[in-house]
Amino acid sequence: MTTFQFEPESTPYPYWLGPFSPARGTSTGFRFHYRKLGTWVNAPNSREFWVIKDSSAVRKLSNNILHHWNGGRILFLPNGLIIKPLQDYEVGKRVIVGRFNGPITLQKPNGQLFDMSVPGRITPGDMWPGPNTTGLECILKDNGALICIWQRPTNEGSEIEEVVIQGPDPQLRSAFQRARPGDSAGRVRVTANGHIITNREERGYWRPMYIGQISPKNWPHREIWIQRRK
Amino acid sequence: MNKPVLYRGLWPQNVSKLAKYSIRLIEGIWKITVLYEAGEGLRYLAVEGGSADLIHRINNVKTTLRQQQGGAFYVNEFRHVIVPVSVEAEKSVVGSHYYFAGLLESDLSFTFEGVSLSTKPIKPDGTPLLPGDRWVGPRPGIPYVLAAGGGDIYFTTPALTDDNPPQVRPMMTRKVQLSKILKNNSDVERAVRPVTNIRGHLGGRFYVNEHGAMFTPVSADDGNGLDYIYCGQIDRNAWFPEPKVGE
Repeated sequence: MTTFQFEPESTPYPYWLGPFSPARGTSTGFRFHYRKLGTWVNAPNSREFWVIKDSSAVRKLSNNILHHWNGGRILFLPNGLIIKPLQDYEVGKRVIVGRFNGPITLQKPNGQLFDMSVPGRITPGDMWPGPNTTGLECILKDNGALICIWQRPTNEGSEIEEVVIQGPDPQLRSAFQRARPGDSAGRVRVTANGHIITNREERGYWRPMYIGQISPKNWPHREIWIQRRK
Repeated sequence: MNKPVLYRGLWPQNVSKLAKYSIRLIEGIWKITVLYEAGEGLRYLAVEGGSADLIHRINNVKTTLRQQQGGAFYVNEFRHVIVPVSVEAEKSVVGSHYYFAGLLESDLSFTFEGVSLSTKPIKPDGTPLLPGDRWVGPRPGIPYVLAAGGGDIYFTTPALTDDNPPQVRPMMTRKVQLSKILKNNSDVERAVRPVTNIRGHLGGRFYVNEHGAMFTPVSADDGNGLDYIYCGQIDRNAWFPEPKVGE
Protein backbone atom coordinates (compact mmCIF):
# COMPACT_ATOMS: atom_id res chain seq x y z
CA MET A 1 0.00 0.00 0.00
CA THR A 2 1.60 3.26 -1.05
CA THR A 3 -1.10 5.83 -0.39
CA PHE A 4 -3.03 6.79 2.70
CA GLN A 5 -6.56 5.42 2.68
CA PHE A 6 -9.42 6.18 5.06
CA GLU A 7 -12.63 4.28 5.65
CA PRO A 8 -15.04 6.03 8.03
CA GLU A 9 -16.85 4.07 10.72
CA SER A 10 -20.63 4.26 10.57
CA THR A 11 -22.30 6.60 13.02
CA PRO A 12 -22.93 6.71 15.88
CA TYR A 13 -19.26 6.02 16.22
CA PRO A 14 -18.60 3.03 18.49
CA TYR A 15 -16.94 3.68 21.82
CA TRP A 16 -13.35 2.56 22.04
CA LEU A 17 -12.36 0.93 25.33
CA GLY A 18 -8.97 -0.31 24.17
CA PRO A 19 -5.46 1.14 24.39
CA PHE A 20 -5.47 4.91 24.46
CA SER A 21 -2.54 6.70 26.03
CA PRO A 22 -1.41 9.58 23.84
CA ALA A 23 1.08 12.14 25.07
CA ARG A 24 -0.38 14.68 27.47
CA GLY A 25 -0.45 18.36 26.62
CA THR A 26 -2.27 20.76 24.37
CA SER A 27 0.17 20.66 21.48
CA THR A 28 0.98 16.97 21.31
CA GLY A 29 -0.12 14.21 18.95
CA PHE A 30 -2.12 14.64 15.78
CA ARG A 31 -4.54 17.55 16.01
CA PHE A 32 -6.09 20.33 13.99
CA HIS A 33 -4.50 23.71 13.49
CA TYR A 34 -6.38 26.18 11.29
CA ARG A 35 -8.53 23.25 10.15
CA LYS A 36 -5.49 21.32 8.91
CA LEU A 37 -4.65 17.93 10.41
CA GLY A 38 -1.03 17.56 11.46
CA THR A 39 1.32 17.63 14.41
CA TRP A 40 3.56 20.11 16.16
CA VAL A 41 7.23 19.32 15.95
CA ASN A 42 9.67 20.86 18.36
CA ALA A 43 13.10 21.81 17.17
CA PRO A 44 15.79 23.26 19.47
CA ASN A 45 14.92 26.84 18.56
CA SER A 46 11.55 26.64 16.89
CA ARG A 47 8.23 24.87 16.66
CA GLU A 48 6.65 23.86 13.37
CA PHE A 49 3.30 22.40 12.39
CA TRP A 50 3.71 19.51 9.96
CA VAL A 51 0.45 18.76 8.13
CA ILE A 52 -0.58 15.38 6.82
CA LYS A 53 0.02 15.58 3.07
CA ASP A 54 -3.20 16.51 1.31
CA SER A 55 -5.16 13.80 -0.46
CA SER A 56 -8.81 12.92 -0.91
CA ALA A 57 -8.56 10.42 1.98
CA VAL A 58 -7.01 12.99 4.30
CA ARG A 59 -9.70 15.53 3.36
CA LYS A 60 -12.39 12.92 4.00
CA LEU A 61 -10.97 12.16 7.45
CA SER A 62 -10.52 15.84 8.28
CA ASN A 63 -14.02 16.74 7.15
CA ASN A 64 -15.47 13.99 9.31
CA ILE A 65 -13.68 15.22 12.41
CA LEU A 66 -14.38 18.89 11.69
CA HIS A 67 -18.03 18.18 11.02
CA HIS A 68 -18.58 16.36 14.32
CA TRP A 69 -16.15 18.12 16.67
CA ASN A 70 -14.76 21.10 14.84
CA GLY A 71 -11.23 19.83 15.44
CA GLY A 72 -9.35 18.45 18.43
CA ARG A 73 -6.92 15.58 18.55
CA ILE A 74 -6.91 12.08 17.10
CA LEU A 75 -4.79 9.00 17.58
CA PHE A 76 -3.75 6.65 14.79
CA LEU A 77 -3.17 3.16 16.14
CA PRO A 78 -0.74 0.94 14.24
CA ASN A 79 -3.53 -1.60 13.64
CA GLY A 80 -5.35 0.96 11.52
CA LEU A 81 -7.93 2.30 13.98
CA ILE A 82 -8.39 6.05 14.26
CA ILE A 83 -9.49 7.11 17.73
CA LYS A 84 -11.05 10.41 18.78
CA PRO A 85 -11.22 11.38 22.47
CA LEU A 86 -14.53 13.01 23.33
CA GLN A 87 -14.99 16.29 25.12
CA ASP A 88 -17.38 18.11 27.42
CA TYR A 89 -19.86 15.80 29.15
CA GLU A 90 -18.23 12.72 27.62
CA VAL A 91 -14.69 13.58 28.58
CA GLY A 92 -12.63 10.44 29.13
CA LYS A 93 -14.58 8.48 26.51
CA ARG A 94 -13.22 7.72 23.05
CA VAL A 95 -14.75 6.67 19.76
CA ILE A 96 -13.51 4.94 16.63
CA VAL A 97 -13.99 7.35 13.73
CA GLY A 98 -12.64 5.00 11.10
CA ARG A 99 -9.76 2.95 9.84
CA PHE A 100 -6.71 3.93 7.87
CA ASN A 101 -4.34 2.02 5.71
CA GLY A 102 -1.03 2.98 4.19
CA PRO A 103 1.66 5.48 5.10
CA ILE A 104 1.06 8.78 6.82
CA THR A 105 3.13 11.36 5.01
CA LEU A 106 3.78 14.69 6.65
CA GLN A 107 4.56 17.90 4.87
CA LYS A 108 6.88 20.36 6.58
CA PRO A 109 6.42 24.14 6.25
CA ASN A 110 9.30 24.18 3.74
CA GLY A 111 7.49 21.65 1.55
CA GLN A 112 9.71 18.68 2.41
CA LEU A 113 7.94 15.38 3.02
CA PHE A 114 8.39 12.91 5.84
CA ASP A 115 6.95 9.42 5.42
CA MET A 116 6.12 7.93 8.82
CA SER A 117 6.23 4.41 7.41
CA VAL A 118 9.69 4.83 5.85
CA PRO A 119 11.46 7.39 8.00
CA GLY A 120 14.75 7.26 6.09
CA ARG A 121 18.01 5.44 6.65
CA ILE A 122 17.91 5.13 10.40
CA THR A 123 18.82 2.23 12.61
CA PRO A 124 17.73 1.53 16.18
CA GLY A 125 19.50 3.88 18.52
CA ASP A 126 19.62 6.73 15.97
CA MET A 127 17.84 10.02 16.35
CA TRP A 128 14.24 9.96 15.06
CA PRO A 129 13.82 12.57 12.37
CA GLY A 130 10.04 12.79 12.67
CA PRO A 131 7.52 14.22 15.13
CA ASN A 132 8.18 13.28 18.72
CA THR A 133 4.76 13.47 20.39
CA THR A 134 2.53 11.32 18.20
CA GLY A 135 1.62 7.71 18.92
CA LEU A 136 0.49 5.47 21.70
CA GLU A 137 2.48 5.81 24.89
CA CYS A 138 3.75 2.45 26.15
CA ILE A 139 6.33 1.10 28.55
CA LEU A 140 9.24 -0.92 27.29
CA LYS A 141 10.15 -3.29 30.10
CA ASP A 142 13.66 -4.44 30.85
CA ASN A 143 13.04 -7.69 28.95
CA GLY A 144 11.99 -5.78 25.84
CA ALA A 145 8.26 -6.44 26.30
CA LEU A 146 5.96 -3.62 25.25
CA ILE A 147 3.15 -2.82 27.70
CA CYS A 148 0.36 -0.27 27.40
CA ILE A 149 -1.59 1.01 30.40
CA TRP A 150 -4.59 3.28 30.02
CA GLN A 151 -7.60 4.48 31.99
CA ARG A 152 -11.32 4.75 31.42
CA PRO A 153 -13.57 6.82 33.65
CA THR A 154 -16.21 5.05 35.74
CA ASN A 155 -18.87 6.31 38.14
CA GLU A 156 -16.59 5.60 41.11
CA GLY A 157 -13.28 6.70 39.59
CA SER A 158 -11.65 4.78 36.78
CA GLU A 159 -10.64 1.44 35.41
CA ILE A 160 -6.98 1.01 34.61
CA GLU A 161 -6.27 -1.64 32.02
CA GLU A 162 -2.95 -3.09 30.99
CA VAL A 163 -2.15 -5.07 27.88
CA VAL A 164 1.00 -6.67 26.56
CA ILE A 165 1.36 -5.20 23.08
CA GLN A 166 4.28 -7.50 22.36
CA GLY A 167 6.15 -10.01 24.51
CA PRO A 168 9.84 -9.95 25.43
CA ASP A 169 12.00 -8.84 22.51
CA PRO A 170 15.81 -8.77 22.95
CA GLN A 171 16.23 -6.58 19.87
CA LEU A 172 13.93 -3.89 21.22
CA ARG A 173 15.65 -4.13 24.58
CA SER A 174 19.12 -3.60 23.15
CA ALA A 175 17.88 -0.83 20.84
CA PHE A 176 16.37 0.96 23.82
CA GLN A 177 19.63 0.67 25.72
CA ARG A 178 21.51 2.10 22.73
CA ALA A 179 19.06 4.99 22.53
CA ARG A 180 19.11 5.64 26.27
CA PRO A 181 22.40 4.36 27.71
CA GLY A 182 22.00 3.71 31.41
CA ASP A 183 18.26 3.03 31.24
CA SER A 184 16.97 -0.52 31.02
CA ALA A 185 13.27 0.31 30.76
CA GLY A 186 11.16 3.36 30.11
CA ARG A 187 8.45 5.18 28.24
CA VAL A 188 8.22 4.80 24.49
CA ARG A 189 5.70 5.79 21.80
CA VAL A 190 4.42 3.53 19.07
CA THR A 191 3.74 5.78 16.10
CA ALA A 192 1.01 5.39 13.49
CA ASN A 193 2.94 3.20 11.08
CA GLY A 194 4.42 1.05 13.85
CA HIS A 195 7.78 2.71 14.44
CA ILE A 196 8.75 2.94 18.10
CA ILE A 197 10.50 5.97 19.52
CA THR A 198 11.63 7.21 22.93
CA ASN A 199 12.86 10.49 24.27
CA ARG A 200 16.37 10.97 25.61
CA GLU A 201 17.18 13.97 27.72
CA GLU A 202 20.16 15.93 26.52
CA ARG A 203 21.03 19.15 28.28
CA GLY A 204 17.43 19.86 29.23
CA TYR A 205 16.02 19.03 25.81
CA TRP A 206 14.10 15.86 24.99
CA ARG A 207 15.51 14.31 21.85
CA PRO A 208 13.46 11.63 20.04
CA MET A 209 15.35 8.41 19.42
CA TYR A 210 14.43 5.50 17.19
CA ILE A 211 13.98 2.06 18.77
CA GLY A 212 12.47 -0.23 16.14
CA GLN A 213 9.17 -1.27 14.63
CA ILE A 214 6.21 -3.44 15.51
CA SER A 215 4.22 -5.24 12.86
CA PRO A 216 0.51 -4.30 12.80
CA LYS A 217 -0.38 -7.96 12.58
CA ASN A 218 1.10 -8.48 16.06
CA TRP A 219 -1.10 -5.75 17.50
CA PRO A 220 -3.45 -7.08 20.19
CA HIS A 221 -7.15 -6.68 19.62
CA ARG A 222 -10.19 -7.66 21.66
CA GLU A 223 -13.72 -7.28 20.42
CA ILE A 224 -14.83 -6.18 23.92
CA TRP A 225 -12.81 -3.02 23.36
CA ILE A 226 -15.36 -1.95 20.74
CA GLN A 227 -18.71 -0.92 22.17
CA ARG A 228 -21.26 -0.47 19.42
CA ARG A 229 -24.06 2.05 19.87
CA LYS A 230 -27.54 1.99 18.40
CA MET B 1 -17.46 -25.12 54.23
CA ASN B 2 -18.80 -23.16 51.25
CA LYS B 3 -16.28 -22.23 48.62
CA PRO B 4 -14.61 -18.95 49.64
CA VAL B 5 -15.70 -15.90 47.69
CA LEU B 6 -13.38 -13.21 46.38
CA TYR B 7 -13.63 -10.05 48.41
CA ARG B 8 -15.26 -7.20 46.49
CA GLY B 9 -13.55 -4.39 48.40
CA LEU B 10 -10.00 -3.14 48.64
CA TRP B 11 -7.24 -5.75 48.41
CA PRO B 12 -4.27 -4.43 50.41
CA GLN B 13 -1.59 -6.00 48.15
CA ASN B 14 1.84 -4.41 48.65
CA VAL B 15 2.02 -3.23 52.21
CA SER B 16 4.65 -3.33 54.93
CA LYS B 17 4.96 -6.60 56.81
CA LEU B 18 3.90 -4.68 59.91
CA ALA B 19 0.57 -3.82 58.25
CA LYS B 20 -0.90 -7.30 58.46
CA TYR B 21 -1.91 -9.83 61.04
CA SER B 22 -0.81 -13.39 60.68
CA ILE B 23 -1.66 -16.78 62.00
CA ARG B 24 1.34 -18.72 63.22
CA LEU B 25 1.86 -22.01 64.90
CA ILE B 26 3.25 -21.31 68.36
CA GLU B 27 4.17 -24.32 70.48
CA GLY B 28 1.82 -26.45 68.43
CA ILE B 29 -1.15 -24.08 68.69
CA TRP B 30 -2.41 -21.72 65.93
CA LYS B 31 -2.36 -18.16 67.22
CA ILE B 32 -3.13 -14.75 65.82
CA THR B 33 0.03 -12.67 65.87
CA VAL B 34 1.18 -9.27 64.83
CA LEU B 35 4.65 -8.08 64.01
CA TYR B 36 5.56 -5.23 66.32
CA GLU B 37 8.43 -2.77 66.19
CA ALA B 38 9.92 -3.17 69.62
CA GLY B 39 12.91 -0.94 70.31
CA GLU B 40 15.68 -2.05 67.97
CA GLY B 41 13.95 -5.04 66.45
CA LEU B 42 10.74 -6.67 65.35
CA ARG B 43 8.83 -9.18 67.43
CA TYR B 44 5.79 -11.30 66.87
CA LEU B 45 3.21 -10.72 69.57
CA ALA B 46 0.41 -13.21 70.11
CA VAL B 47 -3.15 -12.06 70.58
CA GLU B 48 -4.68 -12.16 74.03
CA GLY B 49 -7.76 -14.18 74.67
CA GLY B 50 -9.84 -16.53 72.60
CA SER B 51 -9.83 -16.28 68.83
CA ALA B 52 -10.27 -19.92 67.90
CA ASP B 53 -13.28 -19.27 65.67
CA LEU B 54 -11.48 -16.56 63.72
CA ILE B 55 -8.42 -18.77 63.26
CA HIS B 56 -10.67 -21.61 62.15
CA ARG B 57 -12.42 -19.42 59.54
CA ILE B 58 -9.14 -18.13 58.12
CA ASN B 59 -7.54 -21.55 57.98
CA ASN B 60 -10.67 -22.92 56.37
CA VAL B 61 -10.33 -20.42 53.52
CA LYS B 62 -6.77 -21.59 53.00
CA THR B 63 -7.44 -25.30 53.16
CA THR B 64 -10.54 -25.08 50.96
CA LEU B 65 -8.34 -23.45 48.34
CA ARG B 66 -5.66 -26.11 48.87
CA GLN B 67 -3.21 -23.82 50.57
CA GLN B 68 -1.24 -24.33 53.73
CA GLN B 69 -2.88 -23.11 56.89
CA GLY B 70 -1.61 -20.00 58.62
CA GLY B 71 -0.20 -16.85 57.11
CA ALA B 72 -1.31 -13.26 56.68
CA PHE B 73 -4.75 -11.76 56.97
CA TYR B 74 -6.20 -8.28 57.19
CA VAL B 75 -9.08 -6.59 58.96
CA ASN B 76 -10.50 -3.43 57.46
CA GLU B 77 -12.57 -0.57 58.83
CA PHE B 78 -15.77 -2.56 58.24
CA ARG B 79 -14.25 -5.34 60.38
CA HIS B 80 -14.22 -7.58 57.34
CA VAL B 81 -11.57 -10.27 57.67
CA ILE B 82 -9.71 -10.64 54.38
CA VAL B 83 -7.43 -13.53 53.60
CA PRO B 84 -4.84 -13.41 50.78
CA VAL B 85 -4.30 -16.66 48.97
CA SER B 86 -1.39 -16.88 46.59
CA VAL B 87 -2.11 -17.81 43.01
CA GLU B 88 0.16 -19.20 40.36
CA ALA B 89 1.76 -16.40 38.40
CA GLU B 90 0.48 -17.67 35.07
CA LYS B 91 -3.12 -17.54 36.25
CA SER B 92 -3.05 -13.91 37.22
CA VAL B 93 -0.74 -10.94 37.30
CA VAL B 94 -1.99 -10.41 40.83
CA GLY B 95 0.21 -12.26 43.31
CA SER B 96 -2.64 -13.17 45.64
CA HIS B 97 -6.40 -13.27 45.54
CA TYR B 98 -8.22 -11.96 48.59
CA TYR B 99 -11.14 -13.83 50.14
CA PHE B 100 -13.73 -12.83 52.70
CA ALA B 101 -13.59 -14.76 55.98
CA GLY B 102 -16.42 -13.18 57.94
CA LEU B 103 -16.39 -10.39 60.46
CA LEU B 104 -14.03 -9.63 63.29
CA GLU B 105 -16.31 -10.08 66.26
CA SER B 106 -14.07 -9.20 69.19
CA ASP B 107 -11.17 -6.78 69.37
CA LEU B 108 -7.61 -8.03 69.17
CA SER B 109 -5.21 -6.98 71.91
CA PHE B 110 -1.64 -7.91 72.67
CA THR B 111 0.79 -7.67 75.54
CA PHE B 112 4.35 -6.46 75.22
CA GLU B 113 6.64 -6.46 78.25
CA GLY B 114 3.68 -6.55 80.58
CA VAL B 115 1.91 -3.63 78.89
CA SER B 116 -1.33 -4.15 77.02
CA LEU B 117 -1.21 -2.96 73.42
CA SER B 118 -4.26 -2.23 71.37
CA THR B 119 -4.99 -1.22 67.81
CA LYS B 120 -7.38 1.37 69.23
CA PRO B 121 -6.07 4.94 69.22
CA ILE B 122 -5.00 4.91 72.84
CA LYS B 123 -1.68 5.19 74.65
CA PRO B 124 -0.38 2.33 76.81
CA ASP B 125 -1.66 4.20 79.89
CA GLY B 126 -5.16 4.18 78.40
CA THR B 127 -5.40 7.87 77.55
CA PRO B 128 -6.62 8.65 74.03
CA LEU B 129 -4.25 9.51 71.24
CA LEU B 130 -4.74 12.90 69.68
CA PRO B 131 -4.27 13.63 65.99
CA GLY B 132 -0.59 14.35 65.43
CA ASP B 133 0.54 11.95 68.20
CA ARG B 134 2.90 9.11 67.36
CA TRP B 135 1.02 5.87 66.74
CA VAL B 136 2.23 3.47 69.43
CA GLY B 137 0.24 0.31 68.85
CA PRO B 138 0.56 -2.44 66.28
CA ARG B 139 0.10 -1.19 62.75
CA PRO B 140 -2.06 -3.60 60.75
CA GLY B 141 -4.23 -1.57 58.42
CA ILE B 142 -5.57 -1.11 54.96
CA PRO B 143 -3.71 1.27 52.62
CA TYR B 144 -5.42 4.31 51.16
CA VAL B 145 -3.87 7.22 49.30
CA LEU B 146 -4.32 10.91 49.94
CA ALA B 147 -4.19 12.29 46.39
CA ALA B 148 -1.54 14.83 45.46
CA GLY B 149 -3.02 18.23 46.24
CA GLY B 150 -4.73 16.81 49.30
CA GLY B 151 -8.21 17.11 47.83
CA ASP B 152 -9.21 13.47 47.51
CA ILE B 153 -8.68 9.98 48.87
CA TYR B 154 -8.50 6.95 46.62
CA PHE B 155 -7.56 3.33 46.50
CA THR B 156 -6.66 0.97 43.71
CA THR B 157 -7.48 -2.72 43.69
CA PRO B 158 -7.77 -5.47 41.09
CA ALA B 159 -11.07 -5.24 39.22
CA LEU B 160 -13.60 -8.04 39.61
CA THR B 161 -16.53 -9.03 37.45
CA ASP B 162 -20.12 -8.31 38.56
CA ASP B 163 -20.86 -12.05 38.51
CA ASN B 164 -21.83 -13.96 41.60
CA PRO B 165 -19.35 -15.20 42.70
CA PRO B 166 -17.06 -12.60 41.17
CA GLN B 167 -13.98 -13.38 39.13
CA VAL B 168 -10.79 -11.39 38.66
CA ARG B 169 -10.75 -9.32 35.48
CA PRO B 170 -7.24 -9.97 34.17
CA MET B 171 -4.92 -6.99 33.76
CA MET B 172 -7.57 -4.61 35.06
CA THR B 173 -7.32 -2.32 38.07
CA ARG B 174 -10.15 -0.42 39.66
CA LYS B 175 -9.43 3.04 41.03
CA VAL B 176 -12.04 4.32 43.45
CA GLN B 177 -12.04 7.99 44.36
CA LEU B 178 -13.89 9.29 47.40
CA SER B 179 -14.80 12.46 45.50
CA LYS B 180 -16.68 10.38 42.93
CA ILE B 181 -18.47 8.41 45.65
CA LEU B 182 -19.51 11.30 47.89
CA LYS B 183 -20.06 13.93 45.20
CA ASN B 184 -20.58 16.57 47.91
CA ASN B 185 -17.40 18.66 48.21
CA SER B 186 -17.88 19.45 51.88
CA ASP B 187 -18.12 15.73 52.70
CA VAL B 188 -14.90 15.11 50.80
CA GLU B 189 -13.24 18.00 52.58
CA ARG B 190 -14.35 16.56 55.95
CA ALA B 191 -12.87 13.17 55.02
CA VAL B 192 -9.51 14.39 53.78
CA ARG B 193 -8.84 17.07 56.40
CA PRO B 194 -7.46 14.80 59.18
CA VAL B 195 -4.96 13.27 56.77
CA THR B 196 -4.09 16.52 55.01
CA ASN B 197 -3.38 18.07 58.43
CA ILE B 198 -0.56 15.56 58.84
CA ARG B 199 0.60 14.83 55.30
CA GLY B 200 0.08 18.25 53.78
CA HIS B 201 -0.78 18.73 50.15
CA LEU B 202 1.83 16.38 48.77
CA GLY B 203 -0.48 13.50 49.62
CA GLY B 204 0.68 9.95 50.16
CA ARG B 205 -0.25 6.65 51.72
CA PHE B 206 -2.07 6.21 55.01
CA TYR B 207 -3.63 3.25 56.74
CA VAL B 208 -7.05 2.65 58.27
CA ASN B 209 -7.49 -0.11 60.82
CA GLU B 210 -10.42 -2.07 62.20
CA HIS B 211 -11.30 0.74 64.62
CA GLY B 212 -11.44 3.31 61.82
CA ALA B 213 -8.20 4.85 63.07
CA MET B 214 -6.05 6.52 60.43
CA PHE B 215 -2.27 6.66 60.72
CA THR B 216 0.39 7.60 58.25
CA PRO B 217 4.15 7.20 57.91
CA VAL B 218 6.31 10.31 58.03
CA SER B 219 10.06 10.78 58.27
CA ALA B 220 11.17 10.30 61.84
CA ASP B 221 12.20 13.36 63.84
CA ASP B 222 15.72 12.00 64.24
CA GLY B 223 16.05 11.42 60.50
CA ASN B 224 16.18 7.66 60.88
CA GLY B 225 13.38 5.68 59.24
CA LEU B 226 9.71 6.40 59.63
CA ASP B 227 7.37 7.35 62.41
CA TYR B 228 3.67 6.60 62.17
CA ILE B 229 1.43 9.46 63.14
CA TYR B 230 -2.21 9.20 64.19
CA CYS B 231 -4.40 11.34 61.92
CA GLY B 232 -7.79 10.80 63.55
CA GLN B 233 -10.83 8.62 62.94
CA ILE B 234 -12.61 8.13 59.64
CA ASP B 235 -15.99 9.82 59.45
CA ARG B 236 -18.29 6.95 58.51
CA ASN B 237 -20.75 9.41 56.97
CA ALA B 238 -18.03 10.66 54.65
CA TRP B 239 -16.26 7.51 53.62
CA PHE B 240 -16.28 4.69 51.08
CA PRO B 241 -19.30 2.40 51.21
CA GLU B 242 -19.06 -0.99 52.88
CA PRO B 243 -18.34 -3.60 50.20
CA LYS B 244 -21.03 -6.16 49.57
CA VAL B 245 -20.19 -9.52 51.13
CA GLY B 246 -21.88 -12.89 51.03
CA GLU B 247 -24.10 -14.28 48.32
